[in-house]
Amino acid sequence: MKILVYIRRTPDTAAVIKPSEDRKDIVREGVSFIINPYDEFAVQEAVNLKGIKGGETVVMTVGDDSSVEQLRRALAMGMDRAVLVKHERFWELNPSQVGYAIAEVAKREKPDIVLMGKVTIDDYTYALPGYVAQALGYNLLTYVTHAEYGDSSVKVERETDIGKEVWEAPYPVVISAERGLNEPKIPTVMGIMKAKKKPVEVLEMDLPRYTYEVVEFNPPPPRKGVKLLESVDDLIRVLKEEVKIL
Amino acid sequence: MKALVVLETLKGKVREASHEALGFARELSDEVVGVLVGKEPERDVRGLERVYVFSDPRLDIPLSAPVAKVVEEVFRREGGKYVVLAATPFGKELGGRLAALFNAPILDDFTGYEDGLFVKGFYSNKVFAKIRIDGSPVILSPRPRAFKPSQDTREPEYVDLDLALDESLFAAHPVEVKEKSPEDIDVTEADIVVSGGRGMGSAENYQKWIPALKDALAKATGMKVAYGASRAAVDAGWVDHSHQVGQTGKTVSPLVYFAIGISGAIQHQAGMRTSKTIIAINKDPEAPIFGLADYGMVSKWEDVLPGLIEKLKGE
Ligand SMILES: Cc1cc2nc3c(=O)[nH]c(=O)nc-3n(C[C@H](O)[C@H](O)[C@H](O)COP(=O)(O)OP(=O)(O)OC[C@H]3O[C@@H](n4cnc5c(N)ncnc54)[C@H](O)[C@@H]3O)c2cc1C
Ligand SMILES: Nc1ncnc2c1ncn2[C@@H]1O[C@H](COP(=O)(O)O)[C@@H](O)[C@H]1O
Repeated sequence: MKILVYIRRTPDTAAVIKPSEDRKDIVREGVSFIINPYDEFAVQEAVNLKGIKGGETVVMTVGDDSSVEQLRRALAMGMDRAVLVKHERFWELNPSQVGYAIAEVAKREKPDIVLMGKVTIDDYTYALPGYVAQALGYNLLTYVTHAEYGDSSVKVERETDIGKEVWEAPYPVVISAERGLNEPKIPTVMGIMKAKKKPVEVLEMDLPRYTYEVVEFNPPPPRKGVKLLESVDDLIRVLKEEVKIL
Repeated sequence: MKALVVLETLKGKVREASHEALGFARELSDEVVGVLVGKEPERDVRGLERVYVFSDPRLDIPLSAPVAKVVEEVFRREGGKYVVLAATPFGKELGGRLAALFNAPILDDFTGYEDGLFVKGFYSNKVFAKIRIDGSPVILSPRPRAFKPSQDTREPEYVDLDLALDESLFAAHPVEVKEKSPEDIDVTEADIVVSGGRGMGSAENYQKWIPALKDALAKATGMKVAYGASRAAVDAGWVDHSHQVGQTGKTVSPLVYFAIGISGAIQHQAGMRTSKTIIAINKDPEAPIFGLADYGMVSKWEDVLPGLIEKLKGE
């Protein structure tokens, strides 16, 4: 079984994010970066699956030089090798450009399974799994909370707004991870040592061009400040007279 | 300029989120063409020039691969500047497919449109971006509840599509669907969200009091009320993670958000800060949730919820 995992370098979930002075970006100094939390489930899933079925696991990202930090962490978690599609200011790309790069790498690697998170928590896009499946002609299983990998097909549980669903699809398949798929493990010292020797290939790639830019970032609209209520009667009055839901 | 709108159906009915997507498309375009797909979808949509209908018994639950094919066919006939679809779980998946299919840029899960620019929360709503996006077409997927359903009453012309879809498009398919009960409203669709956190103290407390408040509010207001939770409550196993609100849970923007026994960690705030009104009940006056809330009660929930539920029953 060959598995390709896409990950993304995103700010830590605990990071305080503020617009930069020129409003074209966010303040990046002092922010620590992690593997997008949902992509981490994808990495762990690939590592677990290789443990059961054998094969090869490749982790890729579209990122700048500092994204190698996240690739190394994935290698430390147990991935075999890494591919960096190099792009400065990768966070400004449209999801379609990132999807294109993932699909190009997949065309070369020919994995049975492409794994990634359901959403990236920085530009907040859910479009990548669908893009990649369509571009490759692979089957698609999104929002997966549990998967059982057979010889010719995979059976998954997924969670949508309709309910809990069980789906099946033959390989090759794109799978997007929802929370619950597994418990990502913190890399061991041994894993970190090994990761240093694993190969990271760097690729240059021409991406399709689109009109897409953030014209300005703004802080969330300010809230008016808290009004403290003393009693349940107070709260009922507020729900009636101010919030007007009663 | 023309917009194609994908009308997602569930049990034959066009979903509310798709009516909102249509409302948004009407704002954008003077000509709106629909793509109505499902297992025998009802033909009772308003506010479009034309609607292409494709029915297939295999599309009881929407499948993105065949639907992408149908949209491709309609686009081949009609063209269009915008392809609009609601950012439901299905729409988010289909949007990616359409972006690849049409070699188009995509903006999904945005919440506003002002002066030709789109507004979308980035970094889990810690900042808001104004975005310029253009192309032919552009894939636009508005977040449910962000736009008003179309008020346009024009009756569309219905055009049946007769397409032979390849079996391979159905290779990924559902084998079992456990539909949520109608009372189990998704936090993202609710008018009111009642969330409990670690401060509820135990599974029994959470499971008794959060649904009790939810039911009392639903009765008293007639609105859609859902229960939510912080990650601490989810990790403790008190409630299923589909109810988690926050950066690695769901993003909600209800009319009213109740945070009960929730400290208001930055990851939790990321998922609920766009709520219209936030009401916090927390015994710790220093809890960060009070920095965000519109109304607060510095109290133990034990001293508030029983009385509140009792009073709501009287409303
Ligand atoms: C990668 C990552 C992702 C995360 N994603 C999310 C996410 O999506 N959503 C999320 O919520 N969190 C998330 N978190 C966790 C987040 O950092 C907090 O740990 C979590 O939100 C805390 O939950 P809580 O407010 O219920 O618990 P606590 O922070 O423990 O707060 C409990 C509160 O209850 C109050 N309290 C106690 N007893 C009572 C009482 N009797 N009456 C009234 N109040 C009482 C206390 O004063 C306290 O303020 C994430 C963390 C990480 C690292
Ligand atoms: N007693 C209080 N009543 C209401 N709000 C408070 C109280 N104490 C602190 N806050 C608010 O809670 C937010 C976070 O406070 P802190 O956790 O102390 O940083 C601040 O924005 C304060 O305005």
